[in-house]
Amino acid sequence: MKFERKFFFVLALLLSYEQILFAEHPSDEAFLDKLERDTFSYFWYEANPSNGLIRDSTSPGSPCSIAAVGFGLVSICIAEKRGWIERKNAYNRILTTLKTFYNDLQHEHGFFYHFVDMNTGRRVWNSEISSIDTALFLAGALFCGEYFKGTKIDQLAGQLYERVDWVWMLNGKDTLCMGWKPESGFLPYYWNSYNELIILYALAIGSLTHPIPQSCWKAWARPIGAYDRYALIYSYTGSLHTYQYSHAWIDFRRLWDGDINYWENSIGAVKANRQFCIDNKGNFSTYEEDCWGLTACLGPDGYKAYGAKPGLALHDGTVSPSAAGGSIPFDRENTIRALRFIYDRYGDKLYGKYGFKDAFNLTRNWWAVDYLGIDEGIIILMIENARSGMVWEYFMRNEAIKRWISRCLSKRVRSNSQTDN
Amino acid sequence: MNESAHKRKKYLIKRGLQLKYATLLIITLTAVSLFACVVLYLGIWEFVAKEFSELIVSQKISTAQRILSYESARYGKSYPSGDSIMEEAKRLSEHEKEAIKEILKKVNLRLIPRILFIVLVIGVASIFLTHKIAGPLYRFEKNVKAISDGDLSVRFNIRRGDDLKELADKLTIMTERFGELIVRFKDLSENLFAQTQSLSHTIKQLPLEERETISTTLERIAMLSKELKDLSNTLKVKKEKS
Repeated sequence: MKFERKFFFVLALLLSYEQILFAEHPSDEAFLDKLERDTFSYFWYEANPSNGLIRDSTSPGSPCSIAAVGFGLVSICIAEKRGWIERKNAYNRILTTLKTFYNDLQHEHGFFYHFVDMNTGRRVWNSEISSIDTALFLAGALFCGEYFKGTKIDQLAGQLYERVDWVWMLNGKDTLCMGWKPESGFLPYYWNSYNELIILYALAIGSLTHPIPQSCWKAWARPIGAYDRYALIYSYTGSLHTYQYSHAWIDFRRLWDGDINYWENSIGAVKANRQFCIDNKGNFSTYEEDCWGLTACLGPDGYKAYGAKPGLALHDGTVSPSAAGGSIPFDRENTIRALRFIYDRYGDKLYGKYGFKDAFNLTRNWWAVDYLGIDEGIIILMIENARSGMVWEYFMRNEAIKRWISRCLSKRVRSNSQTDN
Repeated sequence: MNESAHKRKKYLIKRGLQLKYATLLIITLTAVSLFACVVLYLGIWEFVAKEFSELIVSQKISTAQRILSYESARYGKSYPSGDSIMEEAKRLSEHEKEAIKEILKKVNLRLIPRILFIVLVIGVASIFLTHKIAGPLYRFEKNVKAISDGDLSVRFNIRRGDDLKELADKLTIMTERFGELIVRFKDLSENLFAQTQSLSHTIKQLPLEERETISTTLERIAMLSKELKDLSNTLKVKKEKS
């Protein structure tokens, strides 16, 4: 009896300790709300209201990134849902954007240039016709179509999607090409190994007008690797964004690709990424238990695909808040703790009117001055998914996504040992 | 009317007046033209200069560098080195800036003779324009002088297209009226003189005493009438066709 009492006492103590340690601080919700709202401001104010194009970054003279527009379109719906902007303003801005893309932007077989001029919409520098960035834009457009179902937005989003000739982007091969340039034709790079490519293949396979063969789904590699105790299908760079982007729109929790569940896979990738930073904190002063996150971002030597193992694991002590911010649904406790840590300790240098600036590196005493559209985008979409699942909810209603799931995946509930975070 | 008689033989008909107004016209039109040119010039070149300003070029290079670093991050090591491409981009931007400077210089050099040509055209045009005023003024001045010399036969005819036509017509009517009055005055004085002569001849038949008294009076009248006739003869009037 005595033993039982002691046992329950210790158990109760442990549970309460765990509650205290890991429970969301009462102000976490307020923190997420503030971060989400500030991050939304980027997409509202760093846009050209006359055509809806959104800057790639706050860097002076920055062009529009069509991927940032994709994230931005969703963020406008989030802002409308949360009452930060009026519905008619959200509707008008989204409609303007889709009209610009449909009527004014140069395109090749429905694919758009990665970077376009903020005013004219014309190709910038020698930017490529980009398959993944077109897919990210279309994901945003289709989301808006579901959110404003039965409206002109829905119609335009459908027209933009149906116009894309995905088969052309195969270039006669079995995996999708990364891009095309008018000067040199198709790039010699293909989406042939696991990374953020799922959203691209989902849209390409789910297309009614120009679908690529179902066999293409199996054509890209799914390399298996491990770091510490985390085994996963890993991306070449090991950058966290590769485990996040498709998940911003697609709810993978009950989707299975054979015996692979990409939701679980991303959870493992986030944990491995954190562990990798912790294991390297002796080498780089930026890394700490609550200061981690290796993803593609700006760094002291320019934009780099920073990442952890398994993968190439390029890193120099640069941490981007978007790594943790874009991973909130995968590991709520550790990610929010990291974001709050960065906010509390470095907020004066790293937090501004649009939320977190892109990255920082204590070892090199380098602080990003710019906000980056796609990194802002993954933060707001994943915060909303973690808070309400709104992006998943609307996007998963899309018929193209349903077609892709029916053609390539199976739905089943995960086993008891696999729990949502 | 003989057209050639009214053709311009001399364009600087009133040199002082015309040159004065030609100069004023040239200055005014040149100033307006130059102002318009400068505004247009600056407006056009401002865009060019802005597009190739240090700031914009540097922003473009940063953007290009950013795009390259994105592509390098995405495509991996096999992608062409961003650094070497950026060196090329910097060189290209320097070349572009030099090219723009050269274009500006050439445009400026071409603009100068064209502006001078425009000023010349304005100058020549102003002589023609001022002549349209100066011509009638010259004619008026000449006719008024003739009238003051007693020649009422002059008429204020001006060339087709010249200004002050209404004034010229009114001055012609006025001169014609004066002429008519003078002709009438002349006729009357001549008639009076003739009647006086006839009366004088008749008086010579009268007795001496009466004759002397009347003769003295008549002589005085004759003198006055002669004086009137002589005076009217000094005025030249146009003979009306009967």
